[in-house]
Amino acid sequence: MWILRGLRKGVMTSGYPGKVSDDELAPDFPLKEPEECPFGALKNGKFDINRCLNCRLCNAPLGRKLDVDEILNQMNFKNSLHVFFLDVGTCHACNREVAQLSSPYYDVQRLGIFFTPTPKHADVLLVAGCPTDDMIPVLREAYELMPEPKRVLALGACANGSLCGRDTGEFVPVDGYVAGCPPAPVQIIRALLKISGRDME
Amino acid sequence: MKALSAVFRRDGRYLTVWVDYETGKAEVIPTDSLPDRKIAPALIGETASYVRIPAGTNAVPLTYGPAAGGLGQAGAFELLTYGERIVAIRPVYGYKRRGIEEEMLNRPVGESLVVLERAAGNFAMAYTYAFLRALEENPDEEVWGVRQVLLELERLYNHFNVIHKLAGAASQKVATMHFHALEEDVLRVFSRLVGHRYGFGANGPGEVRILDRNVIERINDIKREFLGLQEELLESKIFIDRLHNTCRLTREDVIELDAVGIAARGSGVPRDVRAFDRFYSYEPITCREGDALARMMVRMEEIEKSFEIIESVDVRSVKSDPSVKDGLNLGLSEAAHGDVLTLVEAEGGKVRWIGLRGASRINYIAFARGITGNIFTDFPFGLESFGLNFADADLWQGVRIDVDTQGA
Amino acid sequence: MNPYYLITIGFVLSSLIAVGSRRASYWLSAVLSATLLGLLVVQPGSLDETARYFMLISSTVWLAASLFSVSYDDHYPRLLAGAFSMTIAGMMIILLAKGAVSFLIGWEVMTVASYLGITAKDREGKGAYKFLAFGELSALLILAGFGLLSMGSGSTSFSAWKPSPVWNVAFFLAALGFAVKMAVFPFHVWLPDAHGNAPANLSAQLSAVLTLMGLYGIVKLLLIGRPADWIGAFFLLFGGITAVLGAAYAAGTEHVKRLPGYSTVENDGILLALFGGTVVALNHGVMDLASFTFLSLLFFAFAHSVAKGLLFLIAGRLENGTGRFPEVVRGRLTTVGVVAGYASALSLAGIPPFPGFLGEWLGIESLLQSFKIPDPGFKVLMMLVGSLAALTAGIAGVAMSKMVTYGAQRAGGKKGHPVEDAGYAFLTLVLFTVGIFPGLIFRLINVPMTALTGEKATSFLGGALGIRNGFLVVAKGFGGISPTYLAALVFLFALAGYITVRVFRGRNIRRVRAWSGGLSNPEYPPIAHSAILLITESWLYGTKEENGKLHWREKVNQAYNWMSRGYLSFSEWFRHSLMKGSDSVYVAYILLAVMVGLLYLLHAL
Repeated sequence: MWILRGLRKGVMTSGYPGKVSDDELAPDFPLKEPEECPFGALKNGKFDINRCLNCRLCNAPLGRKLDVDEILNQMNFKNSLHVFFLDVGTCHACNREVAQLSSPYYDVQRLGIFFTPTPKHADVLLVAGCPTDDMIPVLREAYELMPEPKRVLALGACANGSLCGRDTGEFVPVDGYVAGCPPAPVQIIRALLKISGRDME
Repeated sequence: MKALSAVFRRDGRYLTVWVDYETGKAEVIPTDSLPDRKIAPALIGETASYVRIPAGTNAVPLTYGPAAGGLGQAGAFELLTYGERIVAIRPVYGYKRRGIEEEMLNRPVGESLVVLERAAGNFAMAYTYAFLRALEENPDEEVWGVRQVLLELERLYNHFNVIHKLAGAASQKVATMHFHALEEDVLRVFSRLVGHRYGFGANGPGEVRILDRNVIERINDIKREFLGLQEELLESKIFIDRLHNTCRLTREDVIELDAVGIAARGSGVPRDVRAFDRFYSYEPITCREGDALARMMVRMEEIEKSFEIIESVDVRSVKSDPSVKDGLNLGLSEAAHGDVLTLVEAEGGKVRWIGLRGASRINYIAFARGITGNIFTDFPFGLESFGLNFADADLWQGVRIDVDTQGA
Repeated sequence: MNPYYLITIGFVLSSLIAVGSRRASYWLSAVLSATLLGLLVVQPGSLDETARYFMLISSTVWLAASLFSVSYDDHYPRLLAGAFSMTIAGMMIILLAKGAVSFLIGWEVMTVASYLGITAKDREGKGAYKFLAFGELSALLILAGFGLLSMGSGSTSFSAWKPSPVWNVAFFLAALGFAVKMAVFPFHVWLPDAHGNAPANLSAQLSAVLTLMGLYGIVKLLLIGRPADWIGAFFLLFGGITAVLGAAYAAGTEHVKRLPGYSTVENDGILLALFGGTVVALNHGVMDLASFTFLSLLFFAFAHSVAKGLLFLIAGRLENGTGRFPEVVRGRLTTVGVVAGYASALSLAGIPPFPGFLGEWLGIESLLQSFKIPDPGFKVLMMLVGSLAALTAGIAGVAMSKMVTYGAQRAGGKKGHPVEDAGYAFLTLVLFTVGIFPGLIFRLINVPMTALTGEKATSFLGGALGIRNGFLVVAKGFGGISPTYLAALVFLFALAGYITVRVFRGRNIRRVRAWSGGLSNPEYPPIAHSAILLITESWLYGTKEENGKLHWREKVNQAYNWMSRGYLSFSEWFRHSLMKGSDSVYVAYILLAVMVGLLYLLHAL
């Protein structure tokens, strides 16, 4: 009896935006700027969180961090945002995290965020992974096919240039960054809400 | 019986790896030409020869991917069809050639591990297991016991993901969401247990780092939930009917293509690395029919076995001897979808050359064989029943930067 | 002299002129058709109203086909041009015939002339021969029926015939003969072969007008006297089966001319079913329903003939190489041609604002009013056939969308103003006009309908719910539809949308490529359009999937081929066993025969 099971399990949807429980974030980000990084996240002594791999090999104190995104250019689509997810070379963890957004735990449809199977219906291009040689033309084509107004959100350390040295920004104009390897679902939601124009303060 | 498990290029020759799944013995043999096994071209990333266009056909080639909504990853299939029927099909590898294997070289092993985990994120524990099996000089029983738990936890969430995908393809809207939630439950256990949702950073050479061991008790709740869901799901005749006789792989197909993991076990061939892993005492679970239903049933039984293994180990942080073996060493481990192989050459505590072979590289070819002759609507069932991904299929090898070698 | 006789002689002349100049022959045909059309509309004179209606439809198609032929026929043997006009002459004789003899003369002239015309393209002659064989079968049946009727009333003149004890049998034989010409199941196998292999200008005639002659014969007989119930039931059932089979095979076929051929089989099936329904309704005294069904019959015939004629003219230009869909190339049709292709295909698929839409609606509406018939058996039969007709309409959609997507849409891009465009434009205009203002045709059906049931066709035009009187087509006490208002509404909304987009947003338009999950945008092959039907209904199509090839063969066709092969081998065997091939045996036979004859003669004397 699926009905009884569902009633028994109750509502498990995340309280975010609002409350974030400890279960939803892993304590894998440095809370203070680290002094060394074996993977090149330090540029001229400055820590670039977008390139942090969550490897926890640096000597900094670690903890749960929600605000790991940086949005440069918001849209005015507060009530309904359509997202096209494009994997240009991930390790598959980012794909799984983005898929979790549609699970009962996060359910982004309640927030007005929808995924489309084609860039032609999308407002935001969510790019994840290191842009590989074969996928760069596809990335450019997907961006070209999106109607105005449009934004690009680079998801995860790989898309931000870590590990393979290629940055999404070299191929398409980027309007926002989300750090993490992979970014947790609540962190992705936060970035999407922000880029859609919602005030996250 | 020996199966061709991997082919790498080194110093202008081929390095072939053969594995005997009955005795557990593996051989690494350098040869000049590609071995005469059907799977050999796929193992070096070339799949064009797997599609043969029959003369006088009225089927046309179509490409599905590499940014297809249904696949959701950077990979493609090239198929031949005259409408509805899949006449011939092959996977296209190469969209995920990131060069990540090069990043693993000439670093302390702890850092190489960081890169390896990010080679195939949802199989990170399996790759780490294989890698450290190859490298550790003095493996400690307790450390490996906890590593087993991490490996089985990863198996759990991957199997849950496969069942979620299969139920989703059959429009079992409620069941698919329940299993998706189960997958998230296990990721949250990982998150509290080791400090990362996918278990990255838990393993180091000779040690395993656990943050909060009490969270393992949640596994009991997950187990109870799974057993209830399994019973309800298997009652749905409509669901079972979609999987029955879909994407059938015969025993002969498996042996001809040297298929591994779930693809082999679902067709009655007991290939499981855990059977001859000295830290496991394990009997492979097989099912004879070879269709998508058989593969799902194998997974369901493996889930129950995984729960048993997790319950039998005392999970806590353990530290032991971190020393690393020099020379060329092979490591194998059974990931959720099949075995992954790492061939590592270390020198002075650093990795100088590495070859990786994910189970997807082989099993996508087995999938292509099984789905031939099926109709389009059966494609998602066939594909999801294997539980593969292209990130794992495109891994190959890293080259020594300081030595002049041919090919890479 | 009667102007129509003059025109008929004119067509015969045109056929003879073809020996000298094909162009002149076709132009003469066109002029004669136009004159005929004008005459029929303005000053029909003493012509019988039923004949006038059918002649009107025919001359519309003849005009367009003649104009088309001027630019189409530039390399065929002169035989084709001659046959073209002679076929028309034959049909004129049929339409003007006042008695059985002249009718049959016209029938034979039409059949033989068409046969000769088909051979102009069909080198092996198989399709042509099949056409001739079944044509003669139908002539034989008609002859039998007419013969019985003539014997019964003592005269071959139509006006002298009256119901007699042999009426039903005679009617059935003649109607069956006409139905064979209309490709009823199981005598339909000749049509796709013949129409598919004939040159397009002749195919248009064959499908649109020749089969119409079959209907003309049936209607004429019906107006003389009503046949028994069982004849109605027979044609209901067989008409329904023919329709479904025709639609199914049309949806599955790969050849640009066979598809319209099968579509003709389908539409003729519907016409026969409607005829059956009229008979049943008449016999049970339900005059309303009988009138409505009769109206559907005649209107559907109009819609079909005009649209099918146009579709064959288009298909003629799409034909390339072996004539299969994958071989359709660009640059065969001008914009006028492409629009005409869309219009004809959409009309045949039953889409508004074309007459096919109203015709389909009328047809299904009549059959589904079977509850008005008191007899329970007929109630159910007619309703079942009505559901078959509805199924047919759906499958026809698959066939016609294939014609548009892989045919008309792909063949555009031709520059210039060939003469055929005039023919295309004319028929497209007729389709639009009749589709939006069907009442014009209803007026023409008044007299035949009054002769049959005492009601007028225009009585089915009404007004309600804000629709002006005369623009609502009503099935009395059942339902109604207004193609005029529908067309007007759609046009207004489309215009409003277009203006809104252009005025308010028209400036920022960026054109981009298609997206299909990557960089390549492959296309489905034409066979994939039908693959779902071919694979799931493989019992109907006899689908085979071997060596990466999907193909099928029509089962009834195969049965005929098997039967004819069997007969031929039997005939060979008989010949060989009768005449061993030895001359001496042959001489012995002759001597034996002579001796027997002499003995008999001697005995008789």
